[in-house]
Amino acid sequence: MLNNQPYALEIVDVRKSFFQNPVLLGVSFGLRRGEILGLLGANGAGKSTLMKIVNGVYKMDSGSIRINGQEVRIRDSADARGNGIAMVYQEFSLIPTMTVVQNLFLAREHKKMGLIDEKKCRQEALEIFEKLGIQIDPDAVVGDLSIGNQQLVEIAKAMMQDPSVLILDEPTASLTHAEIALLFDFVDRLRKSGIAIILITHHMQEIMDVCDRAVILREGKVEMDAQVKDVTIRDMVEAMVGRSVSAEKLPPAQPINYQEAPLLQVCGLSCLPKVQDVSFQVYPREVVGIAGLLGSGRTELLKTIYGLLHADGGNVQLDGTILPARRDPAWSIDHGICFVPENRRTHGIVPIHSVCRNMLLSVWKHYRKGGLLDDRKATADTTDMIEKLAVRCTGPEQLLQNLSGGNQQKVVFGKSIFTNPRVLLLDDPTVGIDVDAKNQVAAVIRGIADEGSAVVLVSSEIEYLEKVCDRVLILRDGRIAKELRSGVDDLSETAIIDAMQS
Amino acid sequence: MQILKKINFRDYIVYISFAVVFLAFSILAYDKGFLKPSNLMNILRQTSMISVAAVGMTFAISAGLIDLSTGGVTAMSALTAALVLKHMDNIFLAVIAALAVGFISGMLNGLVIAKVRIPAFLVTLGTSAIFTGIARVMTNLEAVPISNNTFNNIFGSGDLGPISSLFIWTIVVTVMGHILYKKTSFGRAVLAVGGNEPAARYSGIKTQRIKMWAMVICALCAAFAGILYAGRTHGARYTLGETDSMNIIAAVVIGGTSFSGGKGTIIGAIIGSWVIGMLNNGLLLMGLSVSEQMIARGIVIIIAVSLSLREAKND
Repeated sequence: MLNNQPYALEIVDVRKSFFQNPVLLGVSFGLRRGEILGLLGANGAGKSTLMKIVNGVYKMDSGSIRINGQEVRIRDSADARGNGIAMVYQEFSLIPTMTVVQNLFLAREHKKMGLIDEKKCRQEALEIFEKLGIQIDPDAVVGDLSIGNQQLVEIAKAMMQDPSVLILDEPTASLTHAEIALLFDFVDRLRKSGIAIILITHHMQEIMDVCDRAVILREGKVEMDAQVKDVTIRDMVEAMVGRSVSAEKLPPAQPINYQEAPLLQVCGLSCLPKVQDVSFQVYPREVVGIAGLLGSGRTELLKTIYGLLHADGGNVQLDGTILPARRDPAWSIDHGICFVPENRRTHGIVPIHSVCRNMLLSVWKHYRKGGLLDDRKATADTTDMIEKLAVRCTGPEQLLQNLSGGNQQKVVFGKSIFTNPRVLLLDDPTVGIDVDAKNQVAAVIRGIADEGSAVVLVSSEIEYLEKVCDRVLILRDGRIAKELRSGVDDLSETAIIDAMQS
Repeated sequence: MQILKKINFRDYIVYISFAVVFLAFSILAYDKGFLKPSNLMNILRQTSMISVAAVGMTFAISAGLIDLSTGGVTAMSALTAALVLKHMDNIFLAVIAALAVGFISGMLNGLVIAKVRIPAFLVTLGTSAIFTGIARVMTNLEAVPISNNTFNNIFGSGDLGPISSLFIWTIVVTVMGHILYKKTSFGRAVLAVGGNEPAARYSGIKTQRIKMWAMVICALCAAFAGILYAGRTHGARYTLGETDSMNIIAAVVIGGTSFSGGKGTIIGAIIGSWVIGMLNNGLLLMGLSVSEQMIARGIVIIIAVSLSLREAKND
């Protein structure tokens, strides 16, 4: 039935390189009216570059885009809007301090004699909500709405321009199950009105549930373009990951002794609603990976262990001693628990300070000599650490902002190592750094573990978990869904993703 | 229910502050005549310059900006009005010229903020010194008297029945400001820029232009305050408005405008300015020395502001 529908959007042989680095190597696919297309791809596969081209943020090097059969030129977001393309971003489009109606009509208010006709705006908002089946108080302040309802308001706002193509960028990333059901119900109704929808997501089950077709990008090419009813999740995982090589393992220097007492023990830990009754142990010299999608509670779990969030139940034990429930980061650092946050730029480094100042940030109190700071010792120790971690910089005095992402990350690790951590909690430490740097960071992680520490590694890059971890815990909806052990279970990327999705 | 409580508390705190300060002085300064109608009208009269400027400041703060240069603008505007009246004796021209001074000053502030992308705090810190300097050289520190009684009556000293013309101007500016703020797409755009600038840009708002106009409105109001000062004191000096900046900002924030932008009310700012006005008047009536007044005023402002800024901290 769908095959008779004309194409609402066609992407034909789109290519794009950034400097010498090709990102899209000729991507083509079409989208029919009344169709929901799931767009998938690992980080760096080219998804967001493609969507930015469709939205006029980037210019393609070659190729063409057709809307309803007509070739169009999209130079900026106004062009995209004019051509009936509406994109709902994960953030950046609602004003939290304004009401729903004010947001819907922002910069497009109905007017009567130069003044805003609030009655008409409100009336029309109610009509749109009625038509779309949304039940939200139009006078509520957006910041007071649940994330799910904000998402619906955002889609309603996009729908007000009467688009023919609606692009949803990971709309479920921060929603609860009930909210996701509501959203998909809503998207399904939109589809029936004849609109074409692209759904970008990492959740393959969602694609199985709501999409008609799946397009999977890998390394800048379309790896799969199939009707959803013809494929399985496993097929999609394989298309996304590729069947090629499995990552080279980085084993511990000496085998981990699981008979020994665990160093870190997490018992029934809860921090509602994100972390629910999580229990696991980490043994000395072990690297335990935590795999989970965004919103699975992985960051919250680490923060709860660290003391940035306070637990609602359960406890954490270090060497068999229960840690106080109301501990804070300072206490944790003093007792050998160290946390490397997800967002290096906002939480990990002071970019305008030097390598030395950053590395010693947590331990300056050990560098006092007669009440003053012992600069010579600080410089010497920093120089040693720079050598140990192979940080590429001109010396301890270089400013962090002038280092590459990978080297900045190494400095963050250096900072942690200076605190002599017995437990190291890492939240996605390889975001935005290149392959070489990733390998070096992996060696550093293994090195810390080999000295007897316990490492908990959260990563959104599954092949990284495969490479470094001795065990991988699958976290879903704040609970541990599965445990995969090196040497016992299949710890390949495909197996991990499969476990995450099922 | 909980949300309702939170909103209520935040939005009405200015009325509570007003009531508390009013009651306090009604008791403490009762025998000094605080409650006499003539004294109450006097408070409104003395405060009207701050009230008018606070209307403009609400636009700046709501857009996520600030204007520290209002004092200089007020002085330049008052002197301009006085000089035009002295040399040409034309009320209309005097008012237009004084407002033009405000317009140009605001434009200067706004352009530097929008084009050079320097924070408003720093831009207006600089222009504040420039404007004050210009006001000083305009007449070589001399005061300029205004002998045009029509001007003085319309813009300050006159009354309409029992009501001071200053109060009438306050109401006029408030109503105009309120309509612009609440009922026009410009007002919405100001709030959007202050609430979430990238989102405003994504929604098709020319954010830099909105910021510039918010600064222009702020300076225009400060200039109008200068005209009122000139009418009330029958003359102009470079010191007019000198110490008002902080009172204006305090009035706006006590009035419930979020210091980080995106949320605010014009009415609140006016009530806030009256809280400041009552403080000035009441503390004086109670016989406190100038130094004691300053200390007491500072303490009360901190309390009132901290209550207004207690926005959903648990978020």
